[in-house]
Amino acid sequence: MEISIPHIGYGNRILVRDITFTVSPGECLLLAGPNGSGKSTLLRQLSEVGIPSKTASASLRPLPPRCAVPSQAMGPSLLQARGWAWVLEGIPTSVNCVLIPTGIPKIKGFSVREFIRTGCYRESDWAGRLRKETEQRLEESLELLGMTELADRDIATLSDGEFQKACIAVGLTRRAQVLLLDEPTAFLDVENRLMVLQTLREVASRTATAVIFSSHDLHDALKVAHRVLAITPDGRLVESGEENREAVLKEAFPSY
Amino acid sequence: MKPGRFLCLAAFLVLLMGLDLLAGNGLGLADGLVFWKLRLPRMLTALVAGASLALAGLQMQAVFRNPLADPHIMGVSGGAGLGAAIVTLAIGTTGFSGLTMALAAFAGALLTSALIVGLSFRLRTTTLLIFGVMLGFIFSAISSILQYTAGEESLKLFYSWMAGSFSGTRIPELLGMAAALLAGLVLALCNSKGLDIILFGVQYASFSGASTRRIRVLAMLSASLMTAAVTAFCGPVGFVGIVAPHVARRLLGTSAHRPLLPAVLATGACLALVADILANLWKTPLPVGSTMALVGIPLIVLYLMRETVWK
Repeated sequence: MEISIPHIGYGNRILVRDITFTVSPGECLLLAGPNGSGKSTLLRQLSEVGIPSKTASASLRPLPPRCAVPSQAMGPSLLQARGWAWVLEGIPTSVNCVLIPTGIPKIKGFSVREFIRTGCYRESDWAGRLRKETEQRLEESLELLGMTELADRDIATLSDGEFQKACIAVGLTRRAQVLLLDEPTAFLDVENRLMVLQTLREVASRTATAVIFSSHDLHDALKVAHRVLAITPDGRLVESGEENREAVLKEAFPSY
Repeated sequence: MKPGRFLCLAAFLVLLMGLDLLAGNGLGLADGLVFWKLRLPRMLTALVAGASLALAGLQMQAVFRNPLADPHIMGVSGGAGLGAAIVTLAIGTTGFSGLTMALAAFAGALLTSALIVGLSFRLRTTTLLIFGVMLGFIFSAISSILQYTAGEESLKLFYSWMAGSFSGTRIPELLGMAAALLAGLVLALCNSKGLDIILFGVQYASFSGASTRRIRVLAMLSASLMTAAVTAFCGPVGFVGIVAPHVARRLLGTSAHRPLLPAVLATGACLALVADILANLWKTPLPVGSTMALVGIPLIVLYLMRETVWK
């Protein structure tokens, strides 16, 4: 998949220009960059508009303020966050991208299974019931992540690392082709950090899901990431190969 | 989900319904008129009012993601109070019946809810909660000014409504409240998966494909309808909306809304019945608003202590 977006930002402020990179099924990509460089914004954008297929002309254009949103730009293609006025044009197909944001609260009174079902909002009926095939995928995801025994545990009693795995299970149950994770290792200790990162690598290779995750723990993240996408301080996105990952990181963090 | 505990709750509710029929001054159950005209309507009113306010509180706590949100805190009851105050105190009682005051209270509650729903598109939930509290204070201040200038007869009518009571409700009024409860329950059922996901944050809900705007509007519509109906006929009764959802969650051990709905209805009804029994144990019946506060406040304090001190 080749992804090409002219630029991202809020209102008139452009954070990253000329975004072009490729991602393959089963690949694990680290998205790195300084604080406020636009990592979360890029992930959010990818999840909200979907990644356009290569054949589509992936042009995102800013609408003038107060401009009416065209009716064909309804649903997920419209960036609903405040201050955004971008509409995806003429994209015939898009890839199912699922974003797991950072800081999801562990609400007491939901078992792991209920939490995953709740996350599958679009895939469930009005009463929150999943279809038989989705329910089966839920069980498979739990098994893949080694969480079958924890399935009926209250999520409030899970460790942060285990909870992060439950969040990954939501993405797998939703049949993500590209799983986007915003700082999945934030606030985790070394053990849990490594466990989550290792899980991401395994999920990518065993389910042929492309994984793009942002992280500030560069040292640990490099242990699992096949390649690196780095946002430089001057607002460019640099893509590495498998060999030059550290050199690309140096562009984002000159003191690295 | 603990079904055994729900059965215990249901049995407790039936017991309280029986006790509430026995509670009251003077004549006993042997007097058919007292039973059919006074005790039974009062008990049914407490049942419907408690269930309605509890369901309203549950939905408000979910959309505002705040354990202390309820129609009383959000200014909806205050709006009803202002509506009643304008009709009885500012315009005067001449030519106005209790029903007119109830309709004014209903309109006040609905207008306040509409204002809050409208603002919910623009304000963050925390800001909206603060706004609701401030709105309640403003309504209370205006009501106080109106009371200061009102005549004795008007004040008497207004105070008796403000004190809150499940007595004296007529069958059409009871049916009106029951219809509002039914409508609110249907809306809550249809919105239950939305209420679940919004607990995990607006951002997460949006990324999962939920329309947070739709979830909020449905929840507020349901809560407003029920609160307006109950407040109009029974006066402002607080604390049920805050306490009942917490008790139900603890009893059933779940926060998922669909299994929680029947338990919240039953818990709210139980609380209202306990308050009504306490109010009617004495020679002169006490205001239900006060007995509800006496029951509800210790439970809220207990909840807050568990959350902040013991954890």
